[in-house]
Amino acid sequence: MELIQEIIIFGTIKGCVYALIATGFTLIFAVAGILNLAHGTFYMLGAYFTYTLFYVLGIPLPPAILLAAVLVGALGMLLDRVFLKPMRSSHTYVLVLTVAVAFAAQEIILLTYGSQGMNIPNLIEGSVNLNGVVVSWHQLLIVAITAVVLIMLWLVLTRTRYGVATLAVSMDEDGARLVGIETEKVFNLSMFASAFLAAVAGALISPIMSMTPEMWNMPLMKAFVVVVVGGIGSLTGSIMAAFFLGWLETFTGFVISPKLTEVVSLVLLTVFLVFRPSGILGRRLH
Amino acid sequence: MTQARDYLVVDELTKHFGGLAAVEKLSFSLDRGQILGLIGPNGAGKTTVFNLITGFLPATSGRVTFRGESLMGKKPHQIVNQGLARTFQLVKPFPELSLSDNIRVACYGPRFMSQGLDEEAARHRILEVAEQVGLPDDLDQPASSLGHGDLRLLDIARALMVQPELLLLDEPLSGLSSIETQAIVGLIQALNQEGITLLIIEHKLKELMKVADRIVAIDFGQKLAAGTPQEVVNHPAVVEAYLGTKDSYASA
Amino acid sequence: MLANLKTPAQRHTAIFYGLIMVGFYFVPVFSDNFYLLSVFTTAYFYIIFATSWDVFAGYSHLMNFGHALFIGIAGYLTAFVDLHLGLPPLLVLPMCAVVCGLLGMFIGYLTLRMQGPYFAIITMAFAAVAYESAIMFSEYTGGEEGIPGIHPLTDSLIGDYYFVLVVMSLIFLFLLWFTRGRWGLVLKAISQNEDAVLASGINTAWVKIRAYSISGALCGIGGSVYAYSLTHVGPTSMEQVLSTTILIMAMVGGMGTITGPFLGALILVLFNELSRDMEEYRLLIYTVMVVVIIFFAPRGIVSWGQPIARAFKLGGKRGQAGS
Repeated sequence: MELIQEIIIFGTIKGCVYALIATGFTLIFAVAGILNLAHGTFYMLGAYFTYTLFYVLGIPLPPAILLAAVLVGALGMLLDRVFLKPMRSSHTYVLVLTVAVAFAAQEIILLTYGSQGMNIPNLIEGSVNLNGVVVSWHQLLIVAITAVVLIMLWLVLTRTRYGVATLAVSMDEDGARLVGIETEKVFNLSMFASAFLAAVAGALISPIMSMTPEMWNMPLMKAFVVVVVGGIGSLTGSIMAAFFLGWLETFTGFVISPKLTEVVSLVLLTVFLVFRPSGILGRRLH
Repeated sequence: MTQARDYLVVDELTKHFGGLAAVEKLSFSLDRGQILGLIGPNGAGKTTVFNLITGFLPATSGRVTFRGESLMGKKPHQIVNQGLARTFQLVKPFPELSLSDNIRVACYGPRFMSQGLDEEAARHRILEVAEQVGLPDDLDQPASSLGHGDLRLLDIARALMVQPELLLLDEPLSGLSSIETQAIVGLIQALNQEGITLLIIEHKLKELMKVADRIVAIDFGQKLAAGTPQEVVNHPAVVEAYLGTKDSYASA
Repeated sequence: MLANLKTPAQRHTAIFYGLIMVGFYFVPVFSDNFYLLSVFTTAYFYIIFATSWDVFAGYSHLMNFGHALFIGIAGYLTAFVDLHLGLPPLLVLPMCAVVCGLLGMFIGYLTLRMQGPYFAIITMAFAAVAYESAIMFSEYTGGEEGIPGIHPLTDSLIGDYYFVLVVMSLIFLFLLWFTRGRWGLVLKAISQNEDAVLASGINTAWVKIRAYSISGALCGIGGSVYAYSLTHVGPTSMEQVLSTTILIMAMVGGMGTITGPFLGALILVLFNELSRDMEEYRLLIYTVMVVVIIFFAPRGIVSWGQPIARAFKLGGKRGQAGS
């Protein structure tokens, strides 16, 4: 019984982080057709920026995370405007340019902060005993923050003008343009939201996992798995797939062997790509 | 065996996209040497019919036979190699290749290669086809430098390169000036004289009536009328579909 | 092939690459410096990897993000066959070509329906699966350490140098021949409008599978020689960084030209080695330079060939540089 509880609790926490990473990744793919290989870089920058704002500038942690995420969001917009806008229609260009940017960012971080692992403190110290399973308050806070952020994203997408415009563009770009939606603005704001979400995930995970200049690889791979399993372009599918992956990985780690957790995502990825490329749900943003 | 009658037969052809019937139990046939026009309002399912015949889309049900052989389940390239070539409504040739390379691509299919023709013969044939359709003289320029009318010619030239017996043209006249239109109408007649059978989707009824032996009119994926050009354009259902708006819904 | 050199620009391009290749053969005449020869050998390996990547991915624009898979598979195969069966390299190389060619055919078949981004992800995933497997099944693969002790190709440094150079030259010439003929044209046409190629009666799926198979086979030969040359194979031979490096070299040089990836690999390897003085800034400069080149010249540095030739009053008005 305790094992099942543990798997559910820790799998959910993992799933939350994956959901934050993958919704942004899906959003920009559905809206602008951009498979952003620098998405993990936003996650990494979220962590390092928070570190600097907190330790160097002495800003308290909660506003530091928020500010870091906004800064990373702005960098996302910059990446979109300067590098991607001229050749957004070429998948080849977008893929290679974003992966090159990711490597360059890794080198910049390495030079600035060095290669040793670093952490930021928990948002709240201490832990709580949930029916026999010991969980830190910070981990529970990750779940709460993820819930709040995803609900806010949903509200923005369904209740605001830009949100509705974003959904429209993701369904039919030309049609949206015909009814007077400024697609460039939509792309740009989606990039902001995408980078913002990844940065929040990076900042939240850093008290638990050390940050290193290579930390961008993991979230990128998870984002692939989640969007492929959830159906490329489906936000609900991505969120479902994120939790599915979180639970499956935790189950594998606890029950079979911790060595196999990384392989789980790869197997899921290949199986879905080969046998069910449209994912659990369809291909639309819904 | 090539028979003159029922050269191409479309029999109860049906295509559903989800719950939507794009083509519903459509039947018509085409004799060898004929020019058949396929008309209908926008969204009537004409291009879908082309895609079903040429194997670009799988049919939900129904049959297409060409020279008595079923085309169902065949891949697009296999159908081409039986002598049935097509052009596209939205002409997108290979923009970065030169005009001659655009046409040359079609030399590398089995239909051309099996004749044991060498590069020299291919070059000769490319020049021939280019001249026949009336492409600009400079065949080394990239296709992206061509205007809309010349792109249509290039698409037709590529299709002719596979030496088709039946040629499907998808709106060959759309977006052309009147001079360009006359040139393509002339080309269609010349090709027909050479013995090529043609199936043409077209919006410009006036020009189509000049060249077509028979016309099939469709709307909402179903046949409205078939017969000689005069019969079809005077058919009440066709008049209604083209002129009426709300009423055409009722008739469907 | 010479008959195809119609325009002056094409002749100048041929002379340019011909001189570089001849120059490679004379490097050991001027210096037997161990470091210099190993830098050039590294460049030859990356030329094999990048040009063999190009024949499929560069021409079809299906971005292969897992080309190192073939390097790793060939490397491990070489280690097994060399250490357990003791076969000579001249038998092992064709064997690796066949195995990697079949593997390419199989992956090509599985991924046939996939478009741009999907294809990028699945190729990445296949290489990652192989990478994780190499670490997991450590009793056979030596885990993270890999397998040491593969017999060297020849007993001298210069012998190895020439062996690698000859293999690279043959692969480069084969690829030039292959892509300058009808296959190159058809692959290019597929990348621009696959429907029109189908409508020309060509089985595009088969053309792509065949190109992927050739890409894998040639890279497999390179991967085998690589393992011999290092006398070692490990999981790093198929890690993501290597696949990405190969693709970046090809893009920087100019995709879909064979000559572009040749130049891209040569220049980036030489730059990487010659800039060792810059210490920790080296990789930063390298990566930023790559971003800048891709941003300003998405068609690669071969697209500069024509303007440069014109500046020196070489070449004709038309005729693409590097083709």
